[in-house]
Amino acid sequence: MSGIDERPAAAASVPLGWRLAVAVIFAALHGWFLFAAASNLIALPPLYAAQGYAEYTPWTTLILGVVLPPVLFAGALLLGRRRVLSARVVLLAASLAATAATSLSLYVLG
Amino acid sequence: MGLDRRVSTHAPGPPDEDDDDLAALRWAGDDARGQAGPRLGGETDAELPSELADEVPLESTAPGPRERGIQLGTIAFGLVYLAISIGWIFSVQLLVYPGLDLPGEIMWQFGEFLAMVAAALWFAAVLTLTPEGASRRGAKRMLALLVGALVLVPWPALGYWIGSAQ
Repeated sequence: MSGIDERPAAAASVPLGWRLAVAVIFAALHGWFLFAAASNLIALPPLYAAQGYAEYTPWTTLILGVVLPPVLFAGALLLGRRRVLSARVVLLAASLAATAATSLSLYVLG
Repeated sequence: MGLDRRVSTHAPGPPDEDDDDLAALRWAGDDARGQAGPRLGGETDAELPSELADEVPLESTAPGPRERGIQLGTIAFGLVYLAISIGWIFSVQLLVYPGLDLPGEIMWQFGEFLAMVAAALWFAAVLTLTPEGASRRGAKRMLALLVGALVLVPWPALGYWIGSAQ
């Protein structure tokens, strides 16, 4: 029960159901931003092309919008392994907030 | 026990501090955490267990130069993250949802809220990942805070301010 061996014991005691529920909830929220970015990636290039501005299609921001949500989510999941539930929630919330902030930035920069 | 003798009308008896009473005033794990139990009657510094004095050297109370550097770096990044939060609060006032559907509008508003708290959450996550005692704590913390500061740049407000200045 010393302070040193407290973390692995507490992490191991987190029920699998709780770990899965937290991951699924945050996956769904990240998924919304991925869905929005994928919609833009699919719909915008034909729209630009139809207007005769195909060469101005913002490919970098469109692709970054699709790549960043899963990368940030996977990073938070990896860093949260073998940690207590509260630490996992903080990491996933930070990842979700960074996803939202970058999506707004990319919307402005695109 | 001297105070008890002054206010008590009962005859003073010998303190019955047997082993059970002493154990009741200590928490399990006190010794492992380097903490002493409550000071009991007649106990002095000289009676502290010698192994406890060996475990907690005097210089551990004052932070070393490395630890002080980490603290200063964390405070400096804290100010940067505060500026980022303020930048996002300005940013969301410049943005309007480009669609007309209600679910999209709700998630847009939620995204704006998340963007405003993103800097604070990233900062908290970095502090959670680099607690005291973590290996190469300073380098990891500074690198993670630097990455966060670059990822969370409030481009909407920054673009607006740059555009206004020109």
